[in-house]
Amino acid sequence: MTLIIDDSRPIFVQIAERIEDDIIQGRLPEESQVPSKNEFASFYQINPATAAKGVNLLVDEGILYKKRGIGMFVATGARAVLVEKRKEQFFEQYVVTMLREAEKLGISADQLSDMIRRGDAK
Amino acid sequence: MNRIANVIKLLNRDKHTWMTVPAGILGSSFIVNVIIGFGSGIAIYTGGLSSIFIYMLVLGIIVLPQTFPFAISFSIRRTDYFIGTVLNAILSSALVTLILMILAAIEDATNGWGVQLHFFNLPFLTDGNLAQEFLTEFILLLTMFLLGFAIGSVFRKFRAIGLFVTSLAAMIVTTLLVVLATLNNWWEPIWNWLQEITAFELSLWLLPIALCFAILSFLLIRRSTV
Amino acid sequence: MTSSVVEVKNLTKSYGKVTAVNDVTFSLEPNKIYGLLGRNGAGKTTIMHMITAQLFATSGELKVFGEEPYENERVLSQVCFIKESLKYPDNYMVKDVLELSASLFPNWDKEYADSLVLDFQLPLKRRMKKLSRGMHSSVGIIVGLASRAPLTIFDEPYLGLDAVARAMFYDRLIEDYSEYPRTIVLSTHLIDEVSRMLEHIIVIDGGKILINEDAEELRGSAYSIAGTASAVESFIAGKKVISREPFGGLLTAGVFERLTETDRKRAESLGLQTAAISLQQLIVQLTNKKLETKGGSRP
Repeated sequence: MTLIIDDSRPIFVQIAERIEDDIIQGRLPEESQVPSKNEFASFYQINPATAAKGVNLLVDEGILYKKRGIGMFVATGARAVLVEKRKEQFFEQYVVTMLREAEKLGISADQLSDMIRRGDAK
Repeated sequence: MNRIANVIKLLNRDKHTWMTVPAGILGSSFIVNVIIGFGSGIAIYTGGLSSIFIYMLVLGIIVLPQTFPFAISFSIRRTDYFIGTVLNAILSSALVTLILMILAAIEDATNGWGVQLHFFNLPFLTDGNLAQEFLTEFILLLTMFLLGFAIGSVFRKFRAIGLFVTSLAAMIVTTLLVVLATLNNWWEPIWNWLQEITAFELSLWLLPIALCFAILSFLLIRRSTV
Repeated sequence: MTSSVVEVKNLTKSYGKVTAVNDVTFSLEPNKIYGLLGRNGAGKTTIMHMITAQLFATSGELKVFGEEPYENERVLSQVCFIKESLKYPDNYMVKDVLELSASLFPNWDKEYADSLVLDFQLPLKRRMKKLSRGMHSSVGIIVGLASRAPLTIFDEPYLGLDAVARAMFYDRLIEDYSEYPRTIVLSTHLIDEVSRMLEHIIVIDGGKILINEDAEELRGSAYSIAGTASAVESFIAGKKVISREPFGGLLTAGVFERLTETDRKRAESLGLQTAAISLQQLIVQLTNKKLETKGGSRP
């Protein structure tokens, strides 16, 4: 996890991604409370409205839910949903790109799975 | 009222300009004169008192550059600034006059501080009764301040060029009046009038002039910028 | 709370033949942090001076909290404008400024001001004119924060402040704003330092408004594309190009458009590299048409 906010992409998206990361990696277990928008704001030195927008994005997706007067909590089953979503992204971002690059270099599917095994051993 | 009180507070936070410096100037002038009086052994009439009147003029000139940009930067209205500053000058003039009169009384009672020094009691200026003496000095102090304030306002609004034009205009008008007076033989009646008039009456003549200075300052300050 | 805090219409300020602010129209909504960005001399300070009735507009309309600000106590008491060039009376001490502020600003929080004095390590009894440049700036920052004015404007408030003190300012600002929301305008050329705190961005260039946009909309709204000059030229044809940097036979261009998937694939097939442009870079490129770096000098 990095503290650095990238100013070339919308910050609320980055906040949402970080909460997702925390949920996937277990730092934010299901039914645990998510930091408030003001806590996010002072931690990352960002505008609280932007932090709220990031949190609300996840509320809209059902990953987080609001307990009135208390705060935001991680929904039950959120992790599984996120892992599924990330797997799809992983395929698009890494696998497809990798295959395209492999094709350029003339690497066959067999050689590729060999490489994956080798990488795994490292 | 609260806003005007804030302006007065703003000005008086600078105790140097409004208290220490004038007291120091008058005090040192007084001490020098006492020393001279001590050495001379004869009655001395001195103009050392004029230093406080000149200081009021200087104060009027410097108060604007010192506090106006700060005041409007800190959300003070120009009108409140004007009223507060003039009110503070009125209060200060009254206070100074009171102090001068007390010192004059002491001077009287101690045979001129034991050395026959006439520093606070001057012929003509303090000739009248107590009320007249108070008003004479008070009006003179206030007029000096307002003259300075008007000069400062012209500079604030029109900068150096405005001050130059105004001084030039004032000089031309004065010259014209002198020429007119000479051509029409007004000098003798003027001289006679000055011989007869008391300091108190003269100071009353200053009131409309002081009012003009105040109105001019007000109009200019209302249109002044940072 | 739907009405605007500031409403500016066709505002113009000229000095003789020089037009410092040229037909500017914008509004500021309540409780947002605005960035008023642009190079030195772009007209930012002039605009803020008019909003606070310290300068008079040549023409145009100006409403602050729905009213004319000139000589208007209801408006002025709700505004705190801290600027780089703020001049204090010569004999004022730090505590004089703070104590006076306490009576001038209705929302003044003395305890908070005291804690900020400790944070910024200010000597209360030192005369303002004897303070270092950085300490002088700290006094302004403390007044700006502790006044909690519904419209608080900071115009390059950190001259002479080191990176640590500036970070502290940003930290306190966000913290206090979260707790006491108000409309804040940050005018600065240190865009990279403040940009992530901003909710809305107004860029002024040559007295005119260049950009008036939600900050999040602007992030990721431009990209740079690099490769052989001919390929880049064919790619950027018809696009909104904001910068062009040739290097030998190569060319890097800035495009002020969102990078679509189609364009990304096209760039890839042309053998071109794309990279997102940060908000800071975007504004620098938009306002630095001659590729000068004057506006980027640090305090």
